[in-house]
Order: sequence, then structure tokens, then C-alpha cells
Amino acid sequence: MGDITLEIDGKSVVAKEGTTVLEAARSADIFIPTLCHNEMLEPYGGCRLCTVEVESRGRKKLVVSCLYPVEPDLVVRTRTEMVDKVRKLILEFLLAHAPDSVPMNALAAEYGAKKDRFAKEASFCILCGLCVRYCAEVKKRNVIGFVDQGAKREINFIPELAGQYCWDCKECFPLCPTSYLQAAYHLTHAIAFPSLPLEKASIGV
Amino acid sequence: MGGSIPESLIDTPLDFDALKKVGAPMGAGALMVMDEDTDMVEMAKFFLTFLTNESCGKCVPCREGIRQLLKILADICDGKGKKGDIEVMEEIAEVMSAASLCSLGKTATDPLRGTLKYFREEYEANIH
Repeated sequence: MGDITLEIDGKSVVAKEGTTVLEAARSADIFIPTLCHNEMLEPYGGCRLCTVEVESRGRKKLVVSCLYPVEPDLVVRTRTEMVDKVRKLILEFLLAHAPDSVPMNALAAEYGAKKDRFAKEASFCILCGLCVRYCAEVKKRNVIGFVDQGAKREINFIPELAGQYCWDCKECFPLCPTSYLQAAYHLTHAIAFPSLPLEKASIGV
Repeated sequence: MGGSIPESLIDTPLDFDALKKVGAPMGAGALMVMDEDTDMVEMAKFFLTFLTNESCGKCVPCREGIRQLLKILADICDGKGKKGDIEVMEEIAEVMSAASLCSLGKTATDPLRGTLKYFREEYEANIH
């Protein structure tokens, strides 16, 4: 695993072979926004917020930095006009679902995203998959998963497994960039185990 | 997903490069012929309705982009189009092509772009 030198926003950055552009940027204190990324988990590439422009052998393209591996002499630009345009629209799409999300509102201010540009759809979940992947990759339980596809995609707990494991875990709750996950759990709880008092299941996050 | 061309370009060779040049990539290879009674805004809506069901929903530009495009197209088809709708659709199409994860999202807006290019007046007729 040799060291690779690349350029990010005009700054020369040294990174280990096999690491990603996002990791290289963060090691050099260059900020790239993310919503579906977490260092404990495999890169996902779902939110597309970490999109950057890369130039390699004279060719420019947009890639997601959380998945793109570093390569020698790669030139990375994290704030081009097109990159900012992509990030602004992504935030506006997602704010229609979760208008009160604290991390998304902070990013919206940075990119000039208007939270009421698209009509509100109170699904709250932005489908970043952090809870789904944490449960699968770290806890190896698969209690929560995605169901359906396209615009109908949503997250769902499997009640039988949730009753068995979630009570003593709930480690996915603080990962959620919106407040939806706890609500989904409480709903599952209420439907699956109506005899158990709900306050016992609540935690102070 | 392919594009659409007007009658004036009917002699374009059925060839990848030639069709790409006129803004109507070949897509899956199917050829549809429509007459002057076909509402091209309805056609764009038809293709995007098909594509939202095909989309896996993993990446935001494709999932949310098609969702918002369909809302705008439904309004235009109902005669409730607003000034600025075309520009919003063009912005969404540009971001979807640039930032979607796979080719479905990257090419999902080809039918929309084609109709906006050659049949723009059909959109404008329903925007007040």
C-alpha cells in the first residue's frame, strides 16, 4: 500500500492507496458534505451530496467522493458551479421530506438551498440507509430494512426481530439525520407489542 | 430511455451517432411513431411514470428527481402549469444526468429533454 499524491482544491494531499477521495479530503481538513456516510460503515453512494469534480488525464467528470478511489495526479475540485448546483438541488429534494433536520438546514444555508422549493411530503425519512446498514453491518441483525422501490421506497422494522433485539440496542437512533427513525420504531412497537408500555421503550436521545 | 424527434427530422438515419446528434439517443431500441394528435407532454409523463417504477430508489437525484418531475408534468397536463415550470424541469434533468448513481437515472430525462427541445410549444400552451 504505497502513498499516492493527488490535488484537492489546489492543495497537494498524500493518501494511502485504496482509500477514497472523501477520506483524503477529510485527512487534509477539506470539508465535503455527506448525509449517508459513516466511518463505521461501508461507503454507500446514495445521497450523492459528496459529489465532486475530478480531472484525470485531461478528462473531467462528476463522481461521488465517498466511493471514488484516490489515484496519482488526480485533480479534485470540491466546489465548482455544477457541484454546488447538484448539492443545492439534492438538499431541496430532501428538505421537502425532513424540513426540520438540523444537519440538513445547516448545509442548506451553505448552498443556498430553499427548504420550501418543493411541496412538503411528510415522510420524514431521507432513506440515507444509515440505520439499515448499521443494523446489517455492525450489529449483523438486519432488523430494519428497505422495502419497495423508486419513489415508494421506505424503511421498515421487522416486528418479530425488533421485539427481540431493539429494546436493548437502539444504537441506530443517534445516527439518523432526521427524527424519523425513533418514530418508526415506536410505531412498530405499538403495532407489534400493544401490551408493553411504550415509555419503557423510549430512550433519551 | 431514448428521445423523440419531429416530422422534419424523419429522414435521420437509424444510427447511434446520428440519433445522438439530434438529441434522441437510441435508448432500448424500440421505435414508436406518433401522429399530430399525440400529446407530447403526456408522453413525457408516461415515460417518467414507467421509470419511477423501475427506479430502485437508492440515490436521491433519480428517486426524488423523477418524483418532482412527475408532479410538475401532472400539473401541466391538467392545465395548471406555472411560469418557471420548464426551467425547474430543465434544472432537475441536468442534475439527474450529472449526479445519478446508474444509467437509469442518468438517462431517465432523455424523453423529457427531447420533447422540451422539439415540442416545447406543447408545454408552453398549458402554462399560464
